[in-house]
Amino acid sequence: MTETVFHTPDEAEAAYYAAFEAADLDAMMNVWAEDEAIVCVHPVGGHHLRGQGHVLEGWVHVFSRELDMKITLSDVVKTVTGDLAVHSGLENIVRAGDPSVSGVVVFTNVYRRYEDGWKMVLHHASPGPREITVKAPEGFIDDYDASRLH
Amino acid sequence: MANKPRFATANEAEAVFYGSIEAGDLDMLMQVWADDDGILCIHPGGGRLAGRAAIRESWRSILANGSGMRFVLTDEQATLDEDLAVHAVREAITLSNNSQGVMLATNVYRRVGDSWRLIMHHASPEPPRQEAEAPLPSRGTLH
Repeated sequence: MTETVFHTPDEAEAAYYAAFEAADLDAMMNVWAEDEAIVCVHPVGGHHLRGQGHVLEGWVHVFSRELDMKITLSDVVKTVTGDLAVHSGLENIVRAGDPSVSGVVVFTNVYRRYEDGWKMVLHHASPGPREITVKAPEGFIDDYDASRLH
Repeated sequence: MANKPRFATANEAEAVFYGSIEAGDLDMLMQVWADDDGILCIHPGGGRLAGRAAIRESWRSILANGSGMRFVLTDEQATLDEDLAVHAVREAITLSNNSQGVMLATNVYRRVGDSWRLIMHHASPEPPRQEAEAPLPSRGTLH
């Protein structure tokens, strides 16, 4: 495949969510930096996946499910310096055939500028507050008394 | 506050961040955060808090309930340029009643003048270890 070059963090972010919605593994991994320092935390599963190999495996697993969903972003706050960009916001997930938002995920996306353009170096996603309908696996959050930790 | 502390590196700011939580020192904790209403904080299982007032109140509540927290940080990964530093870290937390949990945190620091200050903290619970070694469940509905 041809490697798309992302001239801005926003271009990389648009490609990330397009690859996610399309469950396109090649396009997804093209968004990520070819760097063993990359980190990905999915909202379900929730471990630190580090490096290209583990991040790729994580996406193989995510895409092995039937996704068929649309993601719209809201409340995005962007901090950009010379070589780094941090985007924080909410992913509002809508499933096929159901127009209501089925889940809200809080995300932090970090992009870094390389010689060949902006690439994702970190994705941290976690289920939003439980008052919003978040269908995390049973016990996933309840294993912890979050108010006692922080 | 008489003298504002100066954090020459993001690592220094991070050490004081966790140190002030362990010490239950809310004022010191808030000195690590930037004087900026754009600061963001996501506590485990929670929504996103923005601005000093909301963030201070959340930590006041946590420190009031969670005295005696101890942190062991591992697997720290740093990405930085001249003005921004992003740290991904595992926080192994022990409470005063000896209960334990692991949180994954993304901490973002920004250089403000001659000092590095925290502008974002995003923490979420890491599932228990035994789940990590078992095959990943297919029942998840988010991603």
